[in-house]
Amino acid sequence: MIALFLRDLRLAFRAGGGFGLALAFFLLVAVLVPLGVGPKAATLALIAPGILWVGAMLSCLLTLDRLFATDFEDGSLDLLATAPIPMEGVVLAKAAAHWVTTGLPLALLAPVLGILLQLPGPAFGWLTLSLLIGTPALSMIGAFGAALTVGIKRGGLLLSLLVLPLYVPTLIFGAEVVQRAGQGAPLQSPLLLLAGITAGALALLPFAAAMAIRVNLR
Amino acid sequence: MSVWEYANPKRFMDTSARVLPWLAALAALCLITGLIWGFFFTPDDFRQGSTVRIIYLHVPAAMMAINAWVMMLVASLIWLIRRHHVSALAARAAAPVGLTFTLIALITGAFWGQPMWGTWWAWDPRLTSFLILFLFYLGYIALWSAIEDSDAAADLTSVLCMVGSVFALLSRYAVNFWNQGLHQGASLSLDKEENVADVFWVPLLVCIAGFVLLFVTLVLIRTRTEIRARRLQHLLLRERMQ
Amino acid sequence: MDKVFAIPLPGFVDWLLAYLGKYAAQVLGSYMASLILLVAIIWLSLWRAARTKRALAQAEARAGGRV
Repeated sequence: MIALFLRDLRLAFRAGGGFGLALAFFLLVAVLVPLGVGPKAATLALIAPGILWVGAMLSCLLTLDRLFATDFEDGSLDLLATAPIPMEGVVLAKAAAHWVTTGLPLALLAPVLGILLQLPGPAFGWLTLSLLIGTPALSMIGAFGAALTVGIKRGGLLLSLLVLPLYVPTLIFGAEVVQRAGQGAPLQSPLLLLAGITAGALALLPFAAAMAIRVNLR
Repeated sequence: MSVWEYANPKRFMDTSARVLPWLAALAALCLITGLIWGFFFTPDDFRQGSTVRIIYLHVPAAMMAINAWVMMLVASLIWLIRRHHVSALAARAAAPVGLTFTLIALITGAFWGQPMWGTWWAWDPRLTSFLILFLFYLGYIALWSAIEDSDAAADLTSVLCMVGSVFALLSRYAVNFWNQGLHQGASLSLDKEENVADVFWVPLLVCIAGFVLLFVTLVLIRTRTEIRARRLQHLLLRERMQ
Repeated sequence: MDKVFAIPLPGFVDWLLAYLGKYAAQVLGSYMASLILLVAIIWLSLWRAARTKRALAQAEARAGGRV
């Protein structure tokens, strides 16, 4: 499992496998939104938490369709299916690799973009923390969506249609944490709920995703 | 392909063919009675004026939009556990009907909200969760039509339906948490304390019965179509091979 | 309620608008939209049912009872 995880990491970094792409997209969102809504600092500060979370979410989507598709096409997924590790483990390793190459850098980049968007001072730490807690769920849910659509040619659009509604709870709680942090309101409950969703997704979705992959390999 | 694959669908086709005319007639009767009764023979509400009449479409449609998803969930589970083909096809057949009902609930809600809340749309928890439900229906239908192998499609959509149900519930609570909302509580509940007045209640019940019957009728018709379509596919495949 | 029976047919629309009062547009709009959607899904279901049935009958006739 660890070997698989490292292999995926290497592939992501080497082939320019969309590693920088998600970050660039995130940056673009943060630049384009102020151009769209106008430069007023008060407006930007108001919408910054939501924009940053939505931007992170969309950036996560970008590299999802490659998660299983390349391995499916060249047959390595078939090999993995016969390997001694269970398919659930494969899914988990791949989701983890996806998180390290997208979720983690996004969370680290987010405070910088927060400056651009006039994010209120106290919210910076919570923004990073909420993204660190929330993005694993995004990667895992995305892995599930990718597993569902792996057999479909040009399934990228369908993947977004399937995955985005599933992102709703994570988005709501994540953005709520940052919003409340900015206003100095208590943020324990959204933070815990966010963590709960991540924990639940990590615990249950590998089984659903593995089942979907087995169906697609049949 | 084999006989036993066709055996259960055959029984389903026979039974449904016998039941369908009655169901359809009953659905039409209930819907026509309920809607005409509600539209012409109930008084205006003292606060909502004549907009109260929208309730006869809004509430049954909203109820059935959720129930349709529950029915799809049950059918998906039956398919995953028992591998009963009719069940998978019934889930597929129900989705567009549920989508239509969701759309009706959203549109009638907008028409009602415009004079009452002063806005066509509010990011109220109930409204928002219905919009999310709408997206779930879209994704489910899109996944069905994207996969060619029918058994794989049934499996994958069933898994999506299960996971989607969990996330739809989560979204419902998340959205509640996010905004407290304008929407009034349930219009119907078993403890009649806060229910709508009797004048509105009886025609509303008739309309609900009509929507339930309409849903069952449409699902039966569509499931029959799906079964026929699959048989047709097998026949065409065989022709091509000869 | 008895005013319903008193209406002459040509004046139905006028009567309807008066009957629904100031919210006529909303009520009629929601009924129209819902009915259109209901008719659409019913029609679509029936149309597909008829089309598949016809195609299946043809295919079965071609197969000639060998199935």
